[in-house]
Amino acid sequence: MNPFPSILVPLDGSSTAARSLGCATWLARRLGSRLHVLNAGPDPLPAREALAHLKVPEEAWPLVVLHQAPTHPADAVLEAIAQYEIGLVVMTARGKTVEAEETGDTTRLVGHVTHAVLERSPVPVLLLPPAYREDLPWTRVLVPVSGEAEADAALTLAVRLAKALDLGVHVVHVIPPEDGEADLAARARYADALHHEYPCQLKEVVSRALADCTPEEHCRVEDVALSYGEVGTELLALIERKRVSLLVIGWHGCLASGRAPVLRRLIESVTAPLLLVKPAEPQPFRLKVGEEIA
Amino acid sequence: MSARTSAVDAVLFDMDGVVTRTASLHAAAWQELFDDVLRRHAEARGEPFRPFDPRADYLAYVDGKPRLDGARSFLAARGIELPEGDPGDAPEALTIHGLAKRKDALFLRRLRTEGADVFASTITLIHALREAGVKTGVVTSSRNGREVLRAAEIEHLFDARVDGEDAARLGLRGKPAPDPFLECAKRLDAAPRRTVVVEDAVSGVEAATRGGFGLVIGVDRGGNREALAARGADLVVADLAEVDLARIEASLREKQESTVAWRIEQVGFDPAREHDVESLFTVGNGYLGVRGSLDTPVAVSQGDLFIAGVYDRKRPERPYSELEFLTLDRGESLYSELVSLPFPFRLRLAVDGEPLDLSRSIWRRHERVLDLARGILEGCAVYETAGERRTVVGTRRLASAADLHLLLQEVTVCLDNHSATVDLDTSLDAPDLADHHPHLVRLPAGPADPGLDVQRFTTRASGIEICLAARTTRVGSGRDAVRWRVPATIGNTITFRRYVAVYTSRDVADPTGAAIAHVRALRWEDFDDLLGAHAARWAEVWTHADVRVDGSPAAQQALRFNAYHLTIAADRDPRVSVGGRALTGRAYEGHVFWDVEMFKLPFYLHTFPDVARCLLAYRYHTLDGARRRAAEMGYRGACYAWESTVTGDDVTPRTIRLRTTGKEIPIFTGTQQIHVTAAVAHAVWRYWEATRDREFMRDMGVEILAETARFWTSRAVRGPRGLHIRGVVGPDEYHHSVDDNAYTNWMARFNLERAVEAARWLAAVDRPAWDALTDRCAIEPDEVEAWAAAARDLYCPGPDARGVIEQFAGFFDLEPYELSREERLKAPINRLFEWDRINRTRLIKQADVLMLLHVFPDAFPRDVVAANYRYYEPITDHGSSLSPGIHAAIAARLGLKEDAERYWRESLWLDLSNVMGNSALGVHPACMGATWQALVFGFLGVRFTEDGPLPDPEAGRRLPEGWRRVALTLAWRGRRYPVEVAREER
Repeated sequence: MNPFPSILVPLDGSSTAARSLGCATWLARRLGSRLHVLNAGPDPLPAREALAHLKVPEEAWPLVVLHQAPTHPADAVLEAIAQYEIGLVVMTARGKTVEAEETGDTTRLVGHVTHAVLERSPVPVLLLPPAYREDLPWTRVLVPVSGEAEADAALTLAVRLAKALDLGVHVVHVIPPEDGEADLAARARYADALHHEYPCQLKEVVSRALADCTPEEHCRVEDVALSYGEVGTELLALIERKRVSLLVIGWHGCLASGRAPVLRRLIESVTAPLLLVKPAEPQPFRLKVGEEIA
Repeated sequence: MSARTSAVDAVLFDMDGVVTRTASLHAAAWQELFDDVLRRHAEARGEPFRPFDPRADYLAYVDGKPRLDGARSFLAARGIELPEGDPGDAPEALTIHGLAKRKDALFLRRLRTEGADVFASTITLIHALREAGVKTGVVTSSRNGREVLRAAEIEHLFDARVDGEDAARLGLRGKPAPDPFLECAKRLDAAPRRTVVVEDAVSGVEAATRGGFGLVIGVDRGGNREALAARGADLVVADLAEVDLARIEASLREKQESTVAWRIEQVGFDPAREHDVESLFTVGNGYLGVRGSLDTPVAVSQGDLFIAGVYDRKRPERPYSELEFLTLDRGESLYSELVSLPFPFRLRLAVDGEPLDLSRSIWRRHERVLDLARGILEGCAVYETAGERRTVVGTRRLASAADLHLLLQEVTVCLDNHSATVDLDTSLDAPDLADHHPHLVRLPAGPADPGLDVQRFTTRASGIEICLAARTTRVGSGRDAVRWRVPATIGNTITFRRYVAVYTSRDVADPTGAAIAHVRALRWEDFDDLLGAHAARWAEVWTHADVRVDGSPAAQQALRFNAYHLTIAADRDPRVSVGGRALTGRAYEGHVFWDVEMFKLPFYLHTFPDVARCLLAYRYHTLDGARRRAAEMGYRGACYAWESTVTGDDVTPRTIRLRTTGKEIPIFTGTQQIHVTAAVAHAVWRYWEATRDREFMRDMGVEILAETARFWTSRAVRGPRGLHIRGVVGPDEYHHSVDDNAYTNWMARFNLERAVEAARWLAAVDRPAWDALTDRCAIEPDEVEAWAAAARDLYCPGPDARGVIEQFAGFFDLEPYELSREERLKAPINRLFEWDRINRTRLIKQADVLMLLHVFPDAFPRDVVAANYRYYEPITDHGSSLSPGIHAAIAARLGLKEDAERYWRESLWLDLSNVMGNSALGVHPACMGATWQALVFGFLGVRFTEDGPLPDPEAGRRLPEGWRRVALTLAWRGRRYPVEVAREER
């Protein structure tokens, strides 16, 4: 099953933004997806001119559906997602503005448009970081899990994509030193016997995340690892060591200052693309115990 | 109107017969209508005319129903078929719609000419309710509801009204569907469980019951009492003069406490929560346990069947063959892991070829209820297939408490609004055997019998053969089959029933023959009786195990849930004990720990002493394993394994290794947590004190005490303060290789002293038995005296000047550890990685010295208990589920109400709580035992005397918030004593 029947690539005419085309066209071909190219601007061009302006290589034109919108770029992306039932947005961290600034504000992690799309997009975004190195075809996906809903959604999507693209999925739970909250510990608050508890708990976290997946999707998981250390550092080391093609990360959707420190660190340093996934709506479920019946 | 303070949100009144007296007008209108139809029908067929009975026919077929349904219902009863017609039909038309319209006209004519009376007592009650701030609503099937209320001049007495016009406009189904009542409650913003329905019609009572309303009051205006009660009326009165708000509230509270607290209900479905729920909803009987998976399993389902004592060699982790977090060094034990067998309640269901399950189908409603009172798991799902075709699937299942080898299952399929072919495949064949049940090899099923489903397996290493034999029938078909195809029509309910028999080669030489013979011997007409026998056994269980709490249905429910799980965890097989997660999950691999004796056994001892005896008999039967273990470590006697299965040999892994880094984390518990040996001895003595079971003590108890005492004498070493026990891990597993752990040493001394006492007792009362024992165990003539000397010489740390007992030698000198409030009760996994650093600090995992104070409640004065609680409680991170219960017990004894309740709640709802993470891997029976102990020995402060159990005189002032009374039964020396404590205010 194709997890992304429609893929959207927002382009602004810059060479930086056009770097997403290699990955996006490869994905569209492998998945058999429709590729929507979107340019937001006040003056629409004739189609062929627009494609050339956006630096879409001619061999990709047969794949492409072109849209030109006279609205703000981020709004245009969000409208296109809804209008064309987009399942995935592929875009670079920065675009024309950063390029135009020449050596200007390179400290900015992502451009304004990307920032807005990342935060507001209801569908996953494949983000190509500033240090992105194209390495196609993909072979291996890395997914950090934590037991939280965001990470569960990321793993679910990762195995579905892996099934469609014939990739191997590597799962890791990184335990940050002295972090008592945002990890498995929040779920495994008791450990009667550590050597029994955590292997089972780790398997259960994966199993729970893949609850909606088929056995064929589930078996894309090749390895489940436990790692100990600062999360960003550990993930970057794993990406290198395991020659990871794609990092799939669940996140809450806020990139404001002080939030998502691990994600910010990764965007800053990683060379592999990042597939950012927000949690799905929780399923209706009630257990009538405790306060429910009090 | 005054501010609402009542526990009742709203009261909904049926109109006709409850508020207004229009039934006679309706009955007269129906009579006029039907008599005309009946007369014409009779004349046309030359049959005698039998008129409509305005009393019997009215109540049976018409009362409370919408007009169209009433007309259909009565005419069908008389075998008269009329065309439906349509709403445009004239009143004179001889169609259902025509008749309904004519009846309406007849009724309105009478209403206008004769007027509408009201029941004065009802009006008085409505005034009183409104005065107290309780909302009122009126619900009627009549399209003339408004007109009737207006005619009676009582419209203003209701905050909301739902009548036949509303129902038609909103597409609400009529009574007995709950829709009109639910709509009215919604309009009042009232929760159904806090809303009362007053009805005089059977269909209305049924509607209210189906709607889950808090209380249903039936008004019997004559001759209808039994029918109203049978359909679910909680209270039946002749007139509402018998009822006031106080009685309504009391009845509602009583019902909540008596019913809600007997069930665990899940509504909706979340695949991510499925493993949690499967653990909670396990059905079992001690011989086996079946996780509460959906009857039609989905991809995530893990419907394991576990059979006590069926173990096999550890298999590689699946499905992640390279799972990084490996456990090593399990040795080659053939019995190191509890075997999971395929789900024995598996069904595959389809309607017109469309499979029905919660992951592939659209479903509108799903609920599961664990009926704690009867040990039955029930389910109901409403599916919707193409064209809005609704199919309602009901299931129930049980593991018989009366016949341990038998499972019962029933499934009903009702085509709510369509006709279709129903396919049911009941084959137990597990398609995923290799992946999900790696210990099993499938064996040939033997000669084919189309009515019988036989599944045979053997375990790969331990060679245990298991057979499941099943028969399924469709009720009324008179035959058995594995696969069914049944054409069904709209509104029909098809019922299937299944028997499954389970045997292993541990039970009989030929498990296949036994399973087939067992299942074949059962008759379908006995299904209800078998279910009844099972329910009767559960009723008996609850006479011994129930803890009744007045004032807190939530606590009551959780206590029953815990007692349910402790009950299904163990039976009376002396070859097995209760694993870390009993028979509810794969975690802990079914290994048996110290928690059986220290945490679970007290529950069994005072509830089902025969089960406690069997758990100790397991320790007797595995004594050879304990002897081997002592010898391997270079000691004498018997040292029980920290983790054991059926042989008593140690199955604790020695290290775990992270493949990425190659880092090894040593596990010290297997070699150093020797206090399990004293725990067994302590339990033997506790059983002896509670039962005076001489036969047990003679045949098993003394030998266990003697061999364990021998171990301690050889394990202890001479030192500056007498005998010392060095290099151990106490209950606090954050510290290893410690000397003179206070808990261990005190327990060892108790072991030695009781061994001496038991030996002398046996020598005195049964010399031949003692002589036989000394021969069998080669006990030297002076050995008993050596145990006594060791007990005297063993150094047992006592309180220092502050009253604090040092957990082990040098503990006070360790580095301090600043334990933040957030870390408490949330022991992070990095404790595992930082084991060496933690070992050097004063941070502890669980009650250790406090465990000592809990086990020996009379050994220390109150100020010492208080001093130790003050010292150790702030440095404990409760990394074990066993810890909060013990802290609750100690805090309760000290009168620290806030701490006691906080810890007890933590312990009580450990598995039921929605925020818990690891119940998916199985429930925590030891924690349940700790919770029970905290209540009985902590809050109630029960002590046993020659006269039986006595609660602490202070107990009435220690009861948790909101409790009015607690009552339970405790077994002591062959009798069962009621214990009851009522709240006392200071």
